[in-house]
Amino acid sequence: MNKKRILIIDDDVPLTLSMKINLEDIGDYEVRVENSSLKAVAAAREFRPDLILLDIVMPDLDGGDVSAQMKSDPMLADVPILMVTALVSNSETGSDDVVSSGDQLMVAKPIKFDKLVHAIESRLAGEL
Amino acid sequence: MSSLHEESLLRSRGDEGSPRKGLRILCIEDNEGDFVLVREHLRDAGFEVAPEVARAASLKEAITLLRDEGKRGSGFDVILLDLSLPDSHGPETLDHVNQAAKDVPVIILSGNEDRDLAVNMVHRGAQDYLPKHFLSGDLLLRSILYALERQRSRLEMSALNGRLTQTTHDLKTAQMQLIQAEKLDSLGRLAAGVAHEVKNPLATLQMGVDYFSRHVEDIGDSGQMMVEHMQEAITNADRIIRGMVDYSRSDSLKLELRNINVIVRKALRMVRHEVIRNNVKVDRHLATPIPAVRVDEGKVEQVLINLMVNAIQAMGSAGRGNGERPLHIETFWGQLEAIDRDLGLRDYDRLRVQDHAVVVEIRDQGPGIPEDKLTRVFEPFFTTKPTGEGTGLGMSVAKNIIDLHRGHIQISNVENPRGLRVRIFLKAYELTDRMKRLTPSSALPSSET
Ligand SMILES: Nc1ncnc2c1ncn2[C@@H]1O[C@H](COP(=O)(O)OP(=O)(O)O)[C@@H](O)[C@H]1O
Ligand SMILES: [Mg+2]
Repeated sequence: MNKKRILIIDDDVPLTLSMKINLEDIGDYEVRVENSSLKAVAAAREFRPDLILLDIVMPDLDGGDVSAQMKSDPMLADVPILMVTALVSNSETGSDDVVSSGDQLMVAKPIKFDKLVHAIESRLAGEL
Repeated sequence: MSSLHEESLLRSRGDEGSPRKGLRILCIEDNEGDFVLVREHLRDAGFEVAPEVARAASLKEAITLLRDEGKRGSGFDVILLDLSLPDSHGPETLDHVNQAAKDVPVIILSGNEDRDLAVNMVHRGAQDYLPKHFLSGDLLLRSILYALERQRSRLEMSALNGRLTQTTHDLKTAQMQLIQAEKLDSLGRLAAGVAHEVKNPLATLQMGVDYFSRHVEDIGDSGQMMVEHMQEAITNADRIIRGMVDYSRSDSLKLELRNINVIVRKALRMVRHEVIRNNVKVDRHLATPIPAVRVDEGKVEQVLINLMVNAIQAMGSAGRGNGERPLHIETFWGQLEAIDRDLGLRDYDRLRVQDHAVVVEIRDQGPGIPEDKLTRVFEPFFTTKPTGEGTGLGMSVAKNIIDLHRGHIQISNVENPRGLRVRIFLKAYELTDRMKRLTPSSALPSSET
């Protein structure tokens, strides 16, 4: 079976590493990490991910800027993006740790691994 | 007393009401003979237009008359009062009359020449105290004219005082708004900072816990127990930080999806008095349909009021003839092609290039702002208006509130016609497909300030 390719863009090195280990550990995913927001687009063009996990608060470009760059790149415009945000409150999240802010869906940080996988699969299936 | 002064008083009264009217005088006097005498003196006194004299023979009659006149809005200009009436005697008579006719000057006509009583009466608010046996046309004329003049000054003073109180109140309100907005802003930033710094490590720990939970066979029973405790610790810490974010937002903006045009109309209603007073014509172009904005309606209304008042005041002081000056209010929307970046604000919700934005534009035909002052107007207490008129807080409150909304405010001097243009950019929500098709092809530049 073809493994899904996940690109994680987040400046936090220990976090991206532990996410990568977990995602690869269950055998369904091939993961690449990019810790620099400035190299995000280049990494995506090269890796051709099926889905991008994108942190919002990063130095240089933030998640919103990176997302806008991807959207305006014909090669990447259709790649689904899951935003990851630390800035959530108790009142915002449902039991699935998915937040909707305005017209954008985001997953909360920290998120339990099974919920993360569920969010990824839903997004890949076009449900989120 | 120079008669010249009296003449000028006479003239100044004549100038005020353009159809010259005689004074309306109420004489409260029970003695028929005394009343006739007073009326004759008044006739001979040399008023430019003969006064109209009414009579009340008792306090009760006087109060009824005053109340009725008050209701009809006509009212008396002066009251001549005899203190000894069948139904009231002495100083209280004056108190009753003063109560029934608050702003009408009262002159006491008295049968005896009691100095102490005279002083007492003046303290209680009488304008003058005239012994009846001294009465003459001249004396009455002078006494009445000075009473009227003093009354006018008193009313002016109290109007001034009212304005001062109002200004002080306005200043306090504006200050509160500013403090409120700044407090919200810094609390929000603090919560965001802490959330970011603490939650990244928590997320890493969470990934570790999840990894070990899947490999219990490698870590043994004690290891599994420890993983469970770690999970609890992460969940607790996460809940505390979320609570903090909740708190920082609790008394902050009440964001709801709104139609900006509705808020613009509300704000216009709030400034309608200023509009009329300054002879301004409102030139309104509100785009429909228009995407929603996510705002605290009351706060955004406050911003619009501040900006509209500034625009109106700018045109008021420009003194451009007597024609109606247009206050131009417009709403529109489009896609942003450039935007100033505030590096302090790194939230997801802020405006970005390519975003659809709703814009409110307020344009006046006043003198504009000198280029070197353009950024200073956002400083608290920066004002070029005279004390009592400007608080210097309107623009800084506006900027604070728009910042809290993650929007953008832009001011520029424009030409043809010359004036100041203020634009507020707010992120657009709920764009329908029809709106997307309608989106103006020329994108919005918002970075030149
Ligand atoms: N529409 C305008 N036209 C010209 N000058 C303006 C305009 N709006 C604001 N200003 C300038 O900015 C200053 C600060 O405005 P503001 O913060 O609202 O305080 P205030 O209106 O109380 O002075 C004003 O005193 C004025 O000099
Ligand atoms: Mg102002």
